[in-house]
Amino acid sequence: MQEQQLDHVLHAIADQTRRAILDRLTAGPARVTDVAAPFAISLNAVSKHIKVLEQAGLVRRTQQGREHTLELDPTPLREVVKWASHYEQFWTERLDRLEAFFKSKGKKP
Amino acid sequence: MKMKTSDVTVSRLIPGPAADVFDVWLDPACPGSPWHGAKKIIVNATVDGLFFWGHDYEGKLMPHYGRFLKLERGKLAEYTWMSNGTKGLETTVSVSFEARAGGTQVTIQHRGLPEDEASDHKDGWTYFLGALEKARQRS
Repeated sequence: MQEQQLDHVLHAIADQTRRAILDRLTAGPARVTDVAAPFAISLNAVSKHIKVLEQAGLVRRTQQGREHTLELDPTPLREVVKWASHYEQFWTERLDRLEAFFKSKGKKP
Repeated sequence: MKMKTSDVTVSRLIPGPAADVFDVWLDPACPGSPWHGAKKIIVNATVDGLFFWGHDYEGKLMPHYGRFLKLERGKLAEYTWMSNGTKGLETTVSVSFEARAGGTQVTIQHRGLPEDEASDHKDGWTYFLGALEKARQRS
């Protein structure tokens, strides 16, 4: 993951309203107007938050006529997890190797 | 400004006696060792002995350096660890070996790792792990 993209993702999920939007989208795709409805802020303000989420690659927008539908894309979040737990993965792989060695040793007559 | 640091701990039950698991861990010639298969390896496994471990990552030699701090056969191996990933910090790796029914519990604790600015987004971290879990449940 590029550092700039990582920054976009972290910036996007650091805001409470944007997290609430993502939370809504974990239930499935939704129209922009439905996503905006529960918030006590203007549709314009919600649209700005949605744009930040789109820039981060966390939300995809499709348009049919006048209707805009939003859908969650969790791929960048998975990339962030991979980045964050680099050392955990590193040492887990070392333990995999150690375990495999002793398991194969135990099978030998 | 002091850099923020964090620790990583992983643990596994390895099916072998503690002394054997300890020996394998420190023997680069053994395929079960974390040092095995490096492009360039020097391990002087004595207290205050040094190691150089250079492994190949996408065609580049990634150097790691350290010094053994504690070595108690079948119990503990502790060494310092510096690499490009530690951003100039001397981190510490402690590997404990505890005899258990069915083998040896190996616990690796890597302490003092540099945290990036990303760690300031604590709410975000907590959030995205939850979001990932929800997305996983849906798919």
